Amino acid sequence: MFKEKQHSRIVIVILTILCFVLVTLYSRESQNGLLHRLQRFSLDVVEPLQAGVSKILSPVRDGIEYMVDLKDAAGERDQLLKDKQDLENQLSGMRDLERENQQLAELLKLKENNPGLEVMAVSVIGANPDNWEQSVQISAGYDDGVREWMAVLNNEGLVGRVVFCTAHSSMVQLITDDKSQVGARLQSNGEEGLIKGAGRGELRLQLINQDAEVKEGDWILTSGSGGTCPVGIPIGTVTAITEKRPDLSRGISIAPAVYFSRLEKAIVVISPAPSELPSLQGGS
Amino acid sequence: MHRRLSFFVALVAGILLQVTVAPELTIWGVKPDFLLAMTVCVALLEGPVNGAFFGFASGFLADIFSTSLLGVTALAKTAMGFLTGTFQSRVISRSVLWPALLCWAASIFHEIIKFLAWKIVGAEGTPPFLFLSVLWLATYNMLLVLAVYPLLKRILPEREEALVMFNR
Repeated sequence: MFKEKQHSRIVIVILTILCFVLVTLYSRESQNGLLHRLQRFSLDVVEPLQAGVSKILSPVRDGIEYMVDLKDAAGERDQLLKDKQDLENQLSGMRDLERENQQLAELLKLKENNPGLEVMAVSVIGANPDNWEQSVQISAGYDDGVREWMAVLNNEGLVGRVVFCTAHSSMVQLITDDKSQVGARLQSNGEEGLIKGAGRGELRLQLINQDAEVKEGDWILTSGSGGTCPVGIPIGTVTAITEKRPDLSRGISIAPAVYFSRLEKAIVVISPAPSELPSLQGGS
Repeated sequence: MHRRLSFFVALVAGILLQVTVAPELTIWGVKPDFLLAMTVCVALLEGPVNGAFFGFASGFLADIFSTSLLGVTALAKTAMGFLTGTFQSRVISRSVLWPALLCWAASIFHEIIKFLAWKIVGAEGTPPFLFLSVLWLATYNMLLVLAVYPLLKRILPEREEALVMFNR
């Protein structure tokens, strides 16, 4: 047993020395040395054999590559799906930006068309949760220079008026709110009256002269009376006229010019500031 | 005589498999090391001396049929053949899992020895030591042993003393 161990130790020592000798000889000799030439010769000899076996085993290699690629393909598919989702999100964001940009451009045009007005662009950030109040919340408040009863417009027409301010946001009473009243006139003949909110997105016009000529499709503009709204801002168009009621008034239905359900951007008329402050119950 | 012939046949078959078949079985950039798997199996069947001889011969042939620093693979395989062979007397199970696990460990040490030797000699173009690749190679070689060991066991029938040691 001892002899066997000694024998094995001698063998491993000899083989290790042999390896070191080979490494040393190989490292020291030139590229044309014996060992280098032996390597080149061996590679030359084995090359045709490798080519033949490679051809025979190509289906095996293809199978392995297919299996490996299959795993990669699943990963690539997941990555592509993720990229697609990212791009769709980006596209959706860009569409939002485009629409926002378009609205801002229209607001800018509105400002250019009314050079006498000092306005501030705001975003609509929420709506009143109360079903009985038709109002929206905007992104500017007292600290930004917004005050109660300032008019709020967009490129389509009159939106409403500010009825409540906090430091950084304000509540805007829409003209369709039951409590809203705004001085108005018919564009066709200048007859004046009051636009009142009728709830559910509708408006009513009460003319001062009950015999004034009015027909469907007539445009209603702000009259400026009351001093809260600038003159000549579109409010809506006449959609229906009913016969005189017992109080001799006519029921004139108005479709608002503003599409309230897609209200995202608006402007607040900072100057001229409201000259009279009506009660919260309305009145212009 | 018969044993020596079997030894020689195994060696030739090993080098042929390594230079022709192994490159075709490349997975994730790693080729299986038939020669190391066979060295481990021979060492476990024949003991440390024959394991070291087989390791040296197979390593030398692997060096000859490559362009790498000659003698390094021979050194690494000699060491692995000897070390694995010393386990022959300690392995009491006949399960093929033991050679496979030993081959897994031997593959890692084999690559470490080669890498250190290249570093010490200062061989040009020494690749970075990629441990994950080494782990994959070790696993690949381990799977190879599951097929190679039973085959070599037929070609190289266990010697009487080896059988006694296995049965201890």
